[in-house]
Amino acid sequence: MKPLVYIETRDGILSQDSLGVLARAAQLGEAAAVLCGEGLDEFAAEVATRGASRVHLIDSAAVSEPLPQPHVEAIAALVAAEDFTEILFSTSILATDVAGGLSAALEAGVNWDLLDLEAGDDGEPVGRRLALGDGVQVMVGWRSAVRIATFRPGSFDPAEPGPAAEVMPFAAEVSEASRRTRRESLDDERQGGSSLGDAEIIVAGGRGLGEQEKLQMVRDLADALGGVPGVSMPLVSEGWAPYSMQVGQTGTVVRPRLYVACGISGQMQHKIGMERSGTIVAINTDEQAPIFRFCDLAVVADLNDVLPALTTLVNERKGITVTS
Amino acid sequence: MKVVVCAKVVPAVRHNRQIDPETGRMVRDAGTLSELDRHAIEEGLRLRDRVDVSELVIVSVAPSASVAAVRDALAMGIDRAVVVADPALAGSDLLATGRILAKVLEREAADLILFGPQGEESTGAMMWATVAARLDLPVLGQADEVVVEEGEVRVTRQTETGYENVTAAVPCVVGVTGSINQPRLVPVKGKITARNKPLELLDLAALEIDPGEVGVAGSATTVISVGPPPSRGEPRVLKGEDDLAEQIYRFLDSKALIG
Repeated sequence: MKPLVYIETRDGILSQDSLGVLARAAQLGEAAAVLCGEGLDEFAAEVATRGASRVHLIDSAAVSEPLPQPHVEAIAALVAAEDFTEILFSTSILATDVAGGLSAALEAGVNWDLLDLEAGDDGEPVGRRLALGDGVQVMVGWRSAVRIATFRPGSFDPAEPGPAAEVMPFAAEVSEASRRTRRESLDDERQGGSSLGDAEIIVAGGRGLGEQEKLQMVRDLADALGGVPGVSMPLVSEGWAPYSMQVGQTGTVVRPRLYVACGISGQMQHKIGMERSGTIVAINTDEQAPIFRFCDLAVVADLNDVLPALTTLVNERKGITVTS
Repeated sequence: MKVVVCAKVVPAVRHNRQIDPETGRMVRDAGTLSELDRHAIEEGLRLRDRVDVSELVIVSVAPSASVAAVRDALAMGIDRAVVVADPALAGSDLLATGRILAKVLEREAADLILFGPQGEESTGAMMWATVAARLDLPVLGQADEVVVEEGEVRVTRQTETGYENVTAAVPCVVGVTGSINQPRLVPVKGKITARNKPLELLDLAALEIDPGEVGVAGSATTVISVGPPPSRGEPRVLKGEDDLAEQIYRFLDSKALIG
């Protein structure tokens, strides 16, 4: 194996999940990292201390935006120049598009949504993933010269800072053809970074709430517990909550110490987004809800009975009295 | 403007799906149009209300048994269907399927290619990106809104941190989200008119694709083994008790999750 780990940065934030993939790759042998962007010297220096054998920095206006094509072209050139055999990503919207583009550019097989990667008996990489609604575990391999893998966010923790590896600039030519897409961020009410990714405690509401106003019960309990409110996908589709509040594979993948799922049935795409939480409490009226199969405390009850009472208890015992 | 929608046919039975222990592949039935891809079909149909769409085509790589499912798209209002079916396609992964789709799309030469949001178990949400790369076209994924104006496509794109506008000139590839629209039901009346709409069934020979480039032979990923998943263990269950809030509180407190 000769892996290259794609380290994602976005809006001035260094993805901890991609540092986690780097840490795992470094356990398997030498692992290089690549950053694409503009003015990323500080981030590159930080990545150099997190397990990378070296850091390739593609610093150019051409790759400054979080758009896939320029990154694909630049990384394809780097992989060809350095003979990397694996390109590893932590799953994100951008990483998925970059990985998909690279697969075609390099005729590289892709295994996605991996939970782990190891060296098989012959030294070739073997990935571990879940399939069929996480009902089976599948070990997967590659037959192409270059192998691409994306990992579920939160699969690995970043390495503790250590000695710094070398940061090497890589001058990638990016053609006009790859730069045909323009991006502008939107400054409207739907904006606002999700705080879910870093939250220690999340209280999330789902379809079982019944009506939008009831989402307040979820917010109140989140406040009482010192946590952050979240929602499942249907509530975003219904327009009850912004996308930044969505927990799930297609929203934010979270790993808090405590996850309280209120009226969430536990569909696959939601499960992927929260199953690695420390403790999971699920409250649902439907005893057959899938979420009861992957939680620590299963409460079969009406949210209207439980949530306000629990919020009051938590607040009272903290010495806060809420007048309403 | 010519618009092509790429859509999959998925197993009609969502539960009780199985993996063939011999091949490591999903066991499939005749299937139905993917619920997710119906969002792309719907967006294609709605575009016609907003801009001049000369032709609306659905392209699907599916077993020939799935033709009936693809006809549902014609019943919804799509003009024409192209189905690529060949026994040699079985077991195609992202790379192999992307090759076939790219070949058909090259032939169709559309101005706008639409993909639906992709389910986690089919292609890892990478199909639009890999096809766009093969066609050397710009790709605008996670589109929550699509606006076509003066030869340009602007999408409002959902990201982890909010929304952004991304714009590219046609031809380009757009992948839509599941919240972009509410797909219409398949109208019974449409099913009758759909019978008279053109549906072209292509095999590999018609597309001049070497069988070695697709199916298992043309795939770059393998399934090594299938086994039981790791388990979280049985949960503690609370039910029917009258002091539920108190019990949940104690549970959280015992795990030092309060305060």
